[in-house]
Amino acid sequence: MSKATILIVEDSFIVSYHLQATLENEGYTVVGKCDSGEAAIEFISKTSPDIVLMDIMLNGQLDGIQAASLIKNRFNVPVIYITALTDKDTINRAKHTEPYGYVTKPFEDREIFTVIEMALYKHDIESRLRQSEEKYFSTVNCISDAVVAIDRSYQISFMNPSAIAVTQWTLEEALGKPVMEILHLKDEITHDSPVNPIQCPIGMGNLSRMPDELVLVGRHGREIPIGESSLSPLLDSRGNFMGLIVVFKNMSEKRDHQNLILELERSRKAALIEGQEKERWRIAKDLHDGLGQMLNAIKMNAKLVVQNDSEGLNLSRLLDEAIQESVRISENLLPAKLRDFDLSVCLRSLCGSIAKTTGVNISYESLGENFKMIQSQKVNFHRITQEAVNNAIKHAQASSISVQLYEGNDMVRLSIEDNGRGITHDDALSGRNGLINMRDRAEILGGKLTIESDQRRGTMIIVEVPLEKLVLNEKN
Amino acid sequence: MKKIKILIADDHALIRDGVRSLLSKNKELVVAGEASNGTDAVEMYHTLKPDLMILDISMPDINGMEVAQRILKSDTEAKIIILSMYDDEDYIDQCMEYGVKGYVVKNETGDELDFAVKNVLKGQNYFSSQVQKVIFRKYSSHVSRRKQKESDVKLTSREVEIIRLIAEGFTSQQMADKLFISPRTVETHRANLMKKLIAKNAIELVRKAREMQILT
Repeated sequence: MSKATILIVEDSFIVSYHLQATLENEGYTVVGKCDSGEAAIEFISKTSPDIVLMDIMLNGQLDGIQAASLIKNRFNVPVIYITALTDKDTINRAKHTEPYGYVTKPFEDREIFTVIEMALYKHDIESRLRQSEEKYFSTVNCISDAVVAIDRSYQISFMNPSAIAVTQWTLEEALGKPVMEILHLKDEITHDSPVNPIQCPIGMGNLSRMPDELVLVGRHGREIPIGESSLSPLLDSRGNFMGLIVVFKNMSEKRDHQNLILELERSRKAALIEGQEKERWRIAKDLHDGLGQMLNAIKMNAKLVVQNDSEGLNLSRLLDEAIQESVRISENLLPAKLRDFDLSVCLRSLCGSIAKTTGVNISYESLGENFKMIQSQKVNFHRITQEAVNNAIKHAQASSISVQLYEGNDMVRLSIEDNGRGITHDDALSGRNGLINMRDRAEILGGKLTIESDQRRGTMIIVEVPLEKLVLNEKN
Repeated sequence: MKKIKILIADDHALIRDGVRSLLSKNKELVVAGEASNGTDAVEMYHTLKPDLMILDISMPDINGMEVAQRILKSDTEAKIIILSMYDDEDYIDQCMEYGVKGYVVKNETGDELDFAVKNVLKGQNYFSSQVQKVIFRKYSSHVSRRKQKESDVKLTSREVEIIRLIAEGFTSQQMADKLFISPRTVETHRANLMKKLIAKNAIELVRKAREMQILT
């Protein structure tokens, strides 16, 4: 290994010369000699030596200690003092510059070589340590995961910038504070946090995943969902427990993204169902107002030209049947009432007509106001009722059904209750589309669908739509 | 002699033509105007001031019931006959409530419209035979329903269960826990029961249930 390069800073020409000769004799390369601190700094800024031998008494404004301090701050070059000064003040000042050696004049040649070798070795090790430390530090600092180190007394000992951003505490404020104060966690769903989940693993000292669905309450009360969190114990070289490293992710963006996807899916479904209903409405209208009216007109005109004999009566009867058929198909597609009446009237009529055709006892109650909802919302309530009542009759073999509509000043609530045998597993599978369809429509309404079902009590379906989600027509 | 002015409002030209030919048999009548939508119908009524209006319900903008309501609001004496495809009680009910003087279903014979026109012009009401049947059916079912309502309120088994627990002093949350249902469902039952038994609070609810021997 080639010997180190050395800079000598010494105001005495003779000492400097002797030192150079001694060092070169040992195989070191003396790359420069300066007699002032200023000159030394100038030199190092151009050519960086491996080590600096520094006298304390120098020419120029700076003394050796001041020069060493500047070198330490600006360049990564180790300094060894070589001086005749041994007074307490000097030594005290010198130690703050963290020198790699302090050799007093006069010195033995061997002595100076030993100190240089030790200094070089120590500096090398320290540089490498610092490099790896910097590497880890910058890694921890630039990752998007929040990293928080906690010591054994539950106090914050480190936070990376991501953790600072999430908690909204600055590093200075957070350091030394109890973990409960900085990492204020609570359960996202139940909203309670009886025990900070971090503290249990600290007590037990084992590796653990943190529970999912946690929210971190930031310093200013902002709640941020966090996830993919982990806890790792921090152990020293002898395996003693030193604290914990908490790593977690800020899930806000991911959550927003998921919500966006859900929202898109919802609006896609809404558009699909709305499109379907519009098409049904169009066909129903064409049948009812178009074909039906035309048939009526034909009947009227026929009356004027056809005699009132048996052929005439037969023609009239056929036309009546055709008219009734067009009305029936149209009503099946979409009842005309949904266009002309309040929801309550439409549902009463629906229940009445199902009761009439099936013989099942269906009671209908309406309470509260009668809102003037827009047609598409009425259609969704209507379809949910239709589906629920038909399921109760067809699948649950109910003999009695109770439909109740409440239009209050806070919400609209529709409940359909039957005394049937409940939704069985098979029904749920075969009737899946029906149940999903009801739920979709409730969601499109901006409301919530609840299904309670058991074999003994039958099924109860509740749809609740908050008033602010309703779109009302202007009052007449 | 001054002829009797008639206004026809129907979005179908075929129907308007049909009505016009039916009316043309009576020489005292003259069709003063034809409207093909609700807005025009209201406007033409006010400008033409017809002696009689024959009005369809399903029209593209505002429906005939609303047209009748608007006209009758400012002119309670307006003579309006509804000529509609609907023979449904809700439509008939609504129109009668607004004060129309006649109602004829489109698939009925021309004679019905004739009668309606004649009677209404005389200042009487006329509801065709088909319409009368609907009104009568509604009335009779109403009477039987009222009788039934007075004697027994039909509660579902879930509702009976809830009312029993209310009587025992359970809170909604306790009931929900006991029955494995959500508090929301319990609240729904509670609200529905109050309505069914016409009670203002839980105490009244229990009292009424005892009276009706739902609770023993």
